[in-house]
Amino acid sequence: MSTQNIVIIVLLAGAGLLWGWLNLHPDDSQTNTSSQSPDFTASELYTVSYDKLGNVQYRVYADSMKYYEKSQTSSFESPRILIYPGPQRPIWQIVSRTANAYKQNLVTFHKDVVIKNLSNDGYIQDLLTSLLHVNLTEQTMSTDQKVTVVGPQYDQIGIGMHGSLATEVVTLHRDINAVYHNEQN
Amino acid sequence: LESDYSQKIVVNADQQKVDIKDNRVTFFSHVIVTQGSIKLEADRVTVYGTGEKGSEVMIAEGKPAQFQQKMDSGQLMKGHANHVRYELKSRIVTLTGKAQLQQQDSLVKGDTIRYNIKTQEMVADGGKKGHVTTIFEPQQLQQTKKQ
Repeated sequence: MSTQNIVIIVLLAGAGLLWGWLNLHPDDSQTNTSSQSPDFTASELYTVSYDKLGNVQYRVYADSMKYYEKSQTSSFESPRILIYPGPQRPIWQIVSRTANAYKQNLVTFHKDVVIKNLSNDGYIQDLLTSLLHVNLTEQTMSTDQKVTVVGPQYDQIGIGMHGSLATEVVTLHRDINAVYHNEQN
Repeated sequence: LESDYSQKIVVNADQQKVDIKDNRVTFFSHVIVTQGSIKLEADRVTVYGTGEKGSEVMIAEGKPAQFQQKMDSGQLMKGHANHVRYELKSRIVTLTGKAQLQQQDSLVKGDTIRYNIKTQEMVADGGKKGHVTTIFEPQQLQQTKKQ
């Protein structure tokens, strides 16, 4: 077999390996939006999403948004989302410094995330964390970071959280520490 | 100690569930509740909150749940029961289900024992089966009677 054939075979094999690697890591090249230019941008964004019956599912406000068609991702500055698990009124408000959304369904909130429950009488007010994943279709939220549960009469901290936006039940996974102030009137 | 009732309450546990709709927080696994000299150890502690300050109700469950408090006299009061209910506002601890409280050599057993953590007074009742109950007064109260 001549050296020329050997070189061709090696090139083909290399190309095949490269093609395989790219397929194995589509997300890395796709979700890395910093290098791409957005397909469209919006400022002072306000958008509403409805379900098939015409009920509001969520409302999104943001100072700015960039959309990348190729990776189907959007990035938001100062996002605020109101989530309607039921048709009548919003039950949750989530704000953060920035957020990314993938296919308008999986949203990751970054930095100074504040999850406010709007349905409650205020005994359990906010959940604070630095990173939060929200699945708008399954109506769940989760993080592996520290979570602080804030209320007028206590402070509670845990590491890691999973919650149901529909049932309004949140579980903190470990290292729980709660302090009840016990201020009698 | 008498000052216990006004102290903050600290809860440590492995896991926690927050039922936001019901204002209910449940702590699971290796739960330790401390308030001044009071210490409560249980498998599960559920805290029911209301809008009113300092009016939570804590329910501890264990096999059994353990309760202890240091008396003003310096002695340790220890107790256990399957079910310990602590009402912050009334300062009443109610032990039910094989309830027992012991202080030095005095022991009270009953189906239900109610104990005020501020006045350190206790009332035990035998429940329907009419178990014999003893009511004992912490030595501190006996001493004040002698004076």
